[in-house]
Amino acid sequence: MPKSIVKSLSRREEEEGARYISVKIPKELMDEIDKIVSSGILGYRSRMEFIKDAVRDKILRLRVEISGEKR
Amino acid sequence: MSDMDELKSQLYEFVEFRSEPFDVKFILGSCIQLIDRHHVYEALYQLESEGKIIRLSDGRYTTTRVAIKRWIKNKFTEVLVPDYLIREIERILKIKPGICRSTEEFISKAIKEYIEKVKGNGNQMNIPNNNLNKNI
Repeated sequence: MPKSIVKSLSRREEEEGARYISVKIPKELMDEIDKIVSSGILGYRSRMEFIKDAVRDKILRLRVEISGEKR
Repeated sequence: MSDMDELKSQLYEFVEFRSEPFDVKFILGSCIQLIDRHHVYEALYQLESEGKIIRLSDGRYTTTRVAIKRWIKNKFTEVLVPDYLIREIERILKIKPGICRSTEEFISKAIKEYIEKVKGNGNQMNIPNNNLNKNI
């Protein structure tokens, strides 16, 4: 994962004093997240941390895709 | 409206939002007027045929609305996502509306893809590899 961008988003989160919105996801996915988080291998300490990285990752991929289409 | 239609309508109105399953005894006990038990059975039978209520394995009934609500509740779980990420998702969905129908679908897809990605990277790291939800 491109860590520089993740860091910049984290800073942005702090700057904006992010509020949180409740979203429904399938339970199966949450079970998978729990397994990864509890394994501790990737260094995630919470579900939310994992979910934020997952969403950021997709956003970044789509941003690249969109900027590529504009060129 | 026939008497049976009237009874069905009143009965359904009475149980529509009831979260607990109910039976004929409960309905008869809740009626102000005396009602023939057979009419209640008939009304329940018709409501079941119309798909408005469901008969459970123990013989009690629940409304389809409540059953679906309960099913959704068991199938999904709530997570908290920062609002700036939600705004970013909404921005992307405006530019590329075809990729997902909703923010929730976007997040579910993002998680699923990310799990596949980290599992792909983590095969040598012994991350448990179970079946991912394929219904998303």
